Formats: sequence, structure tokens, C-alpha cells
Amino acid sequence: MDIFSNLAIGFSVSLTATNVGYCFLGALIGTFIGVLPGIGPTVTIALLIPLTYKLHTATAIIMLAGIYYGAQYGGSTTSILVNLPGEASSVVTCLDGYQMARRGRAGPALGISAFGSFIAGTIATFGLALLAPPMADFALKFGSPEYFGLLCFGLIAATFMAQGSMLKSLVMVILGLLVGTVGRDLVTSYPRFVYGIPELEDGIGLVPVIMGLFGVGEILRNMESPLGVRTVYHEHIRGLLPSRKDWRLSIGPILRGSVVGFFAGVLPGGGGGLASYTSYALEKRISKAPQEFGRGAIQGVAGPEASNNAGSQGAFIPLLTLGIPANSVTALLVGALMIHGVQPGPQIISQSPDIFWGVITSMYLGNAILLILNLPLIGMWVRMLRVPYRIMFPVILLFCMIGVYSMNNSIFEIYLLGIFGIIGYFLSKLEFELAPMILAFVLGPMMEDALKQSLLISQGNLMIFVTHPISAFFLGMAFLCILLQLIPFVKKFRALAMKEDS
Amino acid sequence: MRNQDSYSAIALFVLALAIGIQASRFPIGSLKSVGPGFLPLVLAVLLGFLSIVFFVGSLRSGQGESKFHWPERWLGMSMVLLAILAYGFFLKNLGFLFSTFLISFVLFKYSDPGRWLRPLVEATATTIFNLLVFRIWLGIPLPTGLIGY
Repeated sequence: MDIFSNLAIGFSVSLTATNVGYCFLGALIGTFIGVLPGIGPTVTIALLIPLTYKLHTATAIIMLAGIYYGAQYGGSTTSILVNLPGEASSVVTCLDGYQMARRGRAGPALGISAFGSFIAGTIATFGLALLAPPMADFALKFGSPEYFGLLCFGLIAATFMAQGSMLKSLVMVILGLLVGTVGRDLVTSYPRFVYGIPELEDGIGLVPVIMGLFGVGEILRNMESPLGVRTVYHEHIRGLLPSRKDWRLSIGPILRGSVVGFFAGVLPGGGGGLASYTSYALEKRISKAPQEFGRGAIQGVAGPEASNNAGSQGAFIPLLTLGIPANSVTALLVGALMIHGVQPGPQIISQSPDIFWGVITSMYLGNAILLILNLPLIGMWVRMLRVPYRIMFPVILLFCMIGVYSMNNSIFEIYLLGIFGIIGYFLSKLEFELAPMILAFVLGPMMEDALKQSLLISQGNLMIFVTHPISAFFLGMAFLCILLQLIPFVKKFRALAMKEDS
Repeated sequence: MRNQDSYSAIALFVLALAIGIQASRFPIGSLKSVGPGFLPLVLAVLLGFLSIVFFVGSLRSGQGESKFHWPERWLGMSMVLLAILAYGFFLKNLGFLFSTFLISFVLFKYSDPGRWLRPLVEATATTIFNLLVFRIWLGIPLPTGLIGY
């Protein structure tokens, strides 16, 4: 089987009329919610997962793909037009995108971001189709010690990729792991941190955690300032198609961004933020006119947007071949796939190739539909941006509460939503990154399981993690990440100590 | 005690202590068969250790004023949290339709205090929208409560 016949299997799944229709609907609703003020892509996806419940597996996955791309694009739109990044991956887009908008070039900025994302998506789909099968073969050799090593590396790498202090990110990883231990222990069914609350016995769900930390936390932050109307870029947007000159400037950044982003996306915690930031830094470095960056250079929009998109595709490699999500968005997708009875992992490619390739091609389809959908509808998205927050927050809050309730018909999860809202509010006010916590929360139970299994195999000998070469390699990499983080830390520490002396 | 990080570190240490004490009551097991208390205890110890490192670091680096401020406007935040509490309570007892309308009306009225009609219309629209999405389209059995809906 070669890559084209594999992709053909995938497209035969994704390209039915019903599926394309749902993908279209997903992209539409995803963008619709994604451009609303105060909702970033992760919350958008968390909000919309219930919409796929009743659908068939393949259709649900395709609708999710549409939602995913819609939400991502909604994030870019708010970055360019309002200078409000929905999450880390869009921060870089704000730098030059908003400047372009201020100079009356919002149209080409939005246009190149859609085209760049599409080109990146095309390249990344081939990359995925090429790399995923050998990766899955390799992953089939993984036993518990290998998984444990990989998960350790993944979590440490996520703190390495996170912005801000490494120490704070490590703290977040540990907090996330601890939240993951709530509920009955899988082996002994011993209740941990349950406090007699029956709803906690099955553990805490991902959706109330994400909606609480990001959704309600954001509402609480916004309630601090008066509920005014935000300043949206008001002029009429014209000329979405980038000019010939724009294309000449952008094509290099798009192609480089695609490659950089794809590989960044494979790394744990590396999708999105790392991808777009690396691309921006690279383009600025090799540009002949680096002083233009930050003043509305189209390269500064094209590269990172392409890179971000390729990165979100690259994140599917660990997800589909190892069953390990690399960021909070893919963690949500794992949850959604599992609701539909699809367990991501190395066996999925051989056991249900239609699902595997269906997921990959539907991501591509979602990308293509977005291009067709968004450019003509941009006027509508701009109007959505002007919906005052006064109206937004009750609607978001009610939708979050009913959405969370609908997952398990549990009133308790509504309260959980509030509790995680308060936690999210304080953590982000105190400048703790939420993303490593979510990742650790999702990976924690897998990690504990791998640890127990490994020690069972080795009869309690911890050396099993070192004698297995793959596990030793990952643990070594994790150690290296910590060392690398320590070097600037040591330097800064020294510098401060010196200052105090003098 | 010079900045927010010092306070965060102390809070984290207290948290680590609380978790550690609880986790130490769980069966720890042995390395051969790891018990349910093993991971939480290890994590609590790690968290405690990191919070001490964090505290020392914050003392050395934090010279300036704390960036953290307690919010000046409490009303809005309290409204949101009360709304969550009240919604959970009413949903069970009064049913989906009534509680959705009530809570969204209170929130819309809070954000638009001068008017009555507009919050009424907005709350009605929010209720109908959620009814259509969750009850009709997704077929989720929402609590009916007293009114039968």
C-alpha cells in the first residue's frame, strides 16, 4: 500500500455528501463561536463536542475536523481584527496581523492566513500520511516501560515549550497529575480524593476542567473591567485576495513555516505556540528587511499562520500512532473519539484503516472547506466580533453549564465547572500556564498505569526504565530538557546574585 | 514577602502538605505492586519540594511591587459564581426551562440594569436556543422539574 491508495481510502470515507455537509456545518459553527469575543479555540471545541454525539463515528470525526479548523480560523480572525489572541498560537499573528489591519490591509492579512493555512495543510497531510505508518509500526514495539519514558519526556518537554517560568510550568504539571489521580484507582478501585462524592469516583471529566479553566476563568477575568464595547477595527474590509507582491513575499514563509510547524507539532506541547513562534523568529532572522516585522509585514502573518496549521496536523502523529495527545486541543479530540468508540493508538492504523485515514483526510477536507467558507463570509464574522460582551457572557455561561450537564446528566459537574473557573482565574492572574496542567491531567492516568505495569514486569526493579533502551532514551531526553532549562536559570541566578553583591 | 510568587509558593506548600497527609493514608503498596497512594504521595513530595525552590527563588528575584491585585469589582464575579451555584440548584428542582430563563434573565438584567424588555427578550432567546440545541436536536433528557419541561 502506498500513500496515495491510503489517502484514497480516507477520502472515500470523508467525501460522502452527508460527511461533507457536516464538515461544512462544523466549520461554520466553529468559526461562528471562535470569533465571538471571549472564546478561544480550545473552549470552542469543548463547547461543540456535544453536537457530534448523535452522529455516526466517521461523520462525527469529520464534523469535529470542521469545528477544529473553524475554531482555529476564528482565533486568527480575532487576532488580526481586534488584536486579541484567543490562545498562545495566535499571539504571534497579532504582531503583524493587527498592524496590517490598522494600515487598511486587514483583507490581505485574513486572505493570506487562510491560503497559507491551506497550503500548509496540504503539505502536512502528505507528511502525516508518509510518517504515520512507520511511526505506528515502531510504536507497536512499545511496552509499558517505553510508554512511561515517553510520557515523562512528554510532560517535561511541555514545560520546556511553555511560556514563562519553567518552575511554574512544572508545578502545573504536578497539579495536573494530581487532578488526574482523583477517583477510584483502576487496579484496586480504592477511592482517592473522593470525599464520599459519588460523582468523583469515576474521576474528573476533561470537558468541565477545560470549560472551567478557560471558559469560566475568562468570564471571571472579564467581569473585572466594565462591560464596555471593545474597539473593533471598524473600516469596511475589502480585497481579501492577496496581491501578486503579497504572494511573492509570502510563499517562502508559508513553505518554510509548513515544514517547521509540522515537526514542532509532533513534539509534546509543541503544536500551536512553538510552531508559530519558531516560524516568526525564522522569517525575521532571514528577512532582508527585519525592521518591517511588527509593523505589518505580511511574511509575519503568512509564516506563523501556515506553521500553526501544519503544527496542528503534526500533533496528530503522536495522537494517532501512540494514542498520546500533544496539547489540550488534541486531548479533547481523544475524548471525543473515545465517545465514539475509537481508541487512538498504534493498532488503529491496522485495525480500522478507514477511521485512521478518514481522520487524516477529513482534517484536510476541513481545511479546504474553511477556505471556501470563510473568505466570502468575512463580513459576517466581522459583525460577530462586534457583539457586546454584555450579551456574550450570559450566553457563554449558560451554554457551558448545559453542555457540561449534558455529558453525564450530572448537576455536580456544573459545580465542578465553577470550581475550575475559580482555579483558572487565580492561576492565570498569578501567571501560571494552564496548558501543561491540562496535558498532565490527561496523560496522568496513562502514566500511572504504565508505571504500575512496568514495575509488575520487573518485580519492583526500577532499573527496567534504564535497561530498556527506548525508555532510557526518552528519560535521558527528559533529563536533558531539565538541564537545558537550568542553564539560563543558573545564569540569571548568578547575575542577580552578582548585582546584589555590588 | 515581597511579591505574588512568594504567596503562591506558600499556598502551594500548604496544598502539598494537605495532599501529602491524605495520600499517606492510602495504601502505598510496594515497588513490586504499586498501591493507589504511591503516585499521589510522590507528587505531593515533589510539589512540596518545588514550592520551596519557588519560594527561595521568589525571595531572590522579587524586588518590585506585586503585580497581583485583588479585583476591585466584586459584584460581576460574584454574580457569575452565584449563577453557577443557583443554576445547579434550580436545574434539579425547577426544571430546565424555568431555571435557564431565570438565570439568564438575572445575568442579562445585571449587565443591562436600566432596562426590562431587552433582558426579557434576550433571556427568552437564550432559553429557546438551548432548548432547540440540547433537547430537540441532541435529544438530551434535561430535568423537567415542576412545570413539566
